[in-house]
Amino acid sequence: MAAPPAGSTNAPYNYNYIFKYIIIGDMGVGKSCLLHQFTEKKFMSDCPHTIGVEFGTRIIEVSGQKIKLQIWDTAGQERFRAVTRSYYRGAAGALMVYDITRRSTYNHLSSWLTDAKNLTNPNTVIFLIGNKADLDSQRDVTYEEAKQFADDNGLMFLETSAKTGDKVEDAFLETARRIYQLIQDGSLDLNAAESGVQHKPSHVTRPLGTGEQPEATGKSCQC
Amino acid sequence: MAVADIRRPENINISQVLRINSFSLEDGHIFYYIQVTFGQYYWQCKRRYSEFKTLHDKMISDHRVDSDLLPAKYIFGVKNEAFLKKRQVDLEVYLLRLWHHLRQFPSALAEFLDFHLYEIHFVTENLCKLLQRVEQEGGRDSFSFTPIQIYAINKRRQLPEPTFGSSDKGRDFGHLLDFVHRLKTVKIVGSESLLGTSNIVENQLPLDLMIFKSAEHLTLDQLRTTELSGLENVRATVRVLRIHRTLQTLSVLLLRDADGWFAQDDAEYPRCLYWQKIVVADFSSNRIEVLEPSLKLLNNVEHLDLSSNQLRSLDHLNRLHNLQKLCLSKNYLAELEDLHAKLGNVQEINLSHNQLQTLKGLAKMYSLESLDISDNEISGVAEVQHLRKLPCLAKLNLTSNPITLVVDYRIKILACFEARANEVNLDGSPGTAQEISHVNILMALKKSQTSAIHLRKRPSDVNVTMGSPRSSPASPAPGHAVLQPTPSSSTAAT
Repeated sequence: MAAPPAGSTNAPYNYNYIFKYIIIGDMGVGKSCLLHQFTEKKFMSDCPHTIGVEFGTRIIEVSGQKIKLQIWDTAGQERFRAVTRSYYRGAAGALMVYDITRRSTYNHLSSWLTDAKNLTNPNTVIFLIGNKADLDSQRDVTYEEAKQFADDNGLMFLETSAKTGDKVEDAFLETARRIYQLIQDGSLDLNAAESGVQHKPSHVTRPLGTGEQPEATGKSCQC
Repeated sequence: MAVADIRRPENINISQVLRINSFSLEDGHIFYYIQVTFGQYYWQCKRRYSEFKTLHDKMISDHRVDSDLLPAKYIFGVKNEAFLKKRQVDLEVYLLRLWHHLRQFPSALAEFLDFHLYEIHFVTENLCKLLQRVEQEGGRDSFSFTPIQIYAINKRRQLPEPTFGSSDKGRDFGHLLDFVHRLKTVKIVGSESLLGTSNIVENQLPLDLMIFKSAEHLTLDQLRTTELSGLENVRATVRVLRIHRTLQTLSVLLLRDADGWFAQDDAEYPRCLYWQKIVVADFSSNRIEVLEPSLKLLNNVEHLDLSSNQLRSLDHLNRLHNLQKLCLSKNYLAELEDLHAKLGNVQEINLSHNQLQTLKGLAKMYSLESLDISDNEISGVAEVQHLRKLPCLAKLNLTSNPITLVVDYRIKILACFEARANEVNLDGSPGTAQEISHVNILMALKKSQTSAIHLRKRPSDVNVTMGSPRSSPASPAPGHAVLQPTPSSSTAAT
């Protein structure tokens, strides 16, 4: 009988923090594809319209800390706007996406930004993403213009391609680094309910079902 | 309801106010039935001769009433019909004379005639008395009222009269008003039946809530929304609103003072109509059948209780961006179609005592941490499979569903959550070590069947070890490695 090989991954928490992200932006800019690319490392062609909200997680590492990203992928369609507004609450990071080949999606950013500023807390990190960078020949919004917009509004900015995966990792990880930095600075209060960050003290890892250890290790902080 | 003029008796045709209608013999005592009439309202009190005597003695000592005013007591022949008839008339004359004689209206007489129950001056004075007691006990910031008390306070407030009638300044109406203005927790319990021996229906009285200037918790029970007014203050201060046995729709309350605002789906209401402060809204035990667009006026509500209503569908919850806890138990909900498209980021939902047969609509309520679906009609494990992707679900209650009769119910349900099985509290208790190890075995088996990867043990061996938790650490391992909730930390970049 071999010991469970991946014992540590069976522990209630194999991460130190949870960061909540929300992905926002017009319909069809590639929000779900970005999430899919980030969590599955695959491009999803023929991605269906998101109904309400989708969800994904991935554990990343920042400065030696394991961080679980809980990512809420919202529907871009106007009819779901009311529902998706709920998810801004308690988001530590907001990825605001437009499509570099469609100017209208860029023009709508101010409206998304208004929502993001109004409905999140002041410390929420807002990251602007110009997606579909692989379609450079059809480009409708220049990098410089969007960069200027980002700088004017204090946003971080990258152009990505959910299709090739280019810079997708960077966008999610940069956001996490920025949030982690805010925690280190003390400007993000971990105890505030709406901070979008939960701290999970590391547990002594143990495999499942091996004995009579208190069940509560996982439950007590699951609030 | 009595009008204001009792303090100026000359304005009243007293013979129309007071009348002794009849008498009766009960338990060997004669009772006289006094009817007091003010305008459209009247009430009746029954008094024995001895009670007249007590009143009279007090009148003599306190108000120098002529001692001969009361008809003398007779010992013999009291049950003689003719005598009692005459006495009835004499006592009526006595009350009328007393009324004329007195310049003030003393409390003793008021209580004798039950004014403290039905007449605004004495209802408020009675409240003042109560308040004095309350303050002697150290005061409090919560109080339960009846509609007649609130009506009386409001009426009294508008009278051009000094704030105290009797010589007791402790009963100054101003104190009462001050107390009411500062109250933090207010409860009002109405009634549709006749008040005491009167013809007053409390719920027909106008109910102006303007006097509650500091109320943070307001409970309205069994009232008529048509009589409610003065909601501006309530909007500005109330954080916790509870309304029971009153509402047929939410609009009748939420748009009570906003006539002309149609309940259109996308109607934007003016800012002043929003109930911005309300964090907890408890509308349980009403007769609400549908949720209307006006629900969005509760835009900051975090905890919404709609249990014990008559809801068959859920609408217009999508504008409640701060909603965290939703209670829908004891309604008529049979299905929840795509609930995640109707409300977002809710952590706790109680759907107990409904008629749900499927949980499909909950499959993407990813924010859910606690879900109560006890007392529904969920019968198959396949239904619970819809919940398996909910990443935060930590509490699930399925008691009193047909599904609980399935063999190995707990293990099969926990197995739906795969690697998260040990994080889910099912029906009030987490999976035991034995249950979790069984879950792990099931997962391993499933894995071996679906992916055609052979376990080190032959399946027959695994079956043998099913009952023994000791063998579990080895068996589930292959399953675990694959069925991680996250794509695995190995993909993490730094």
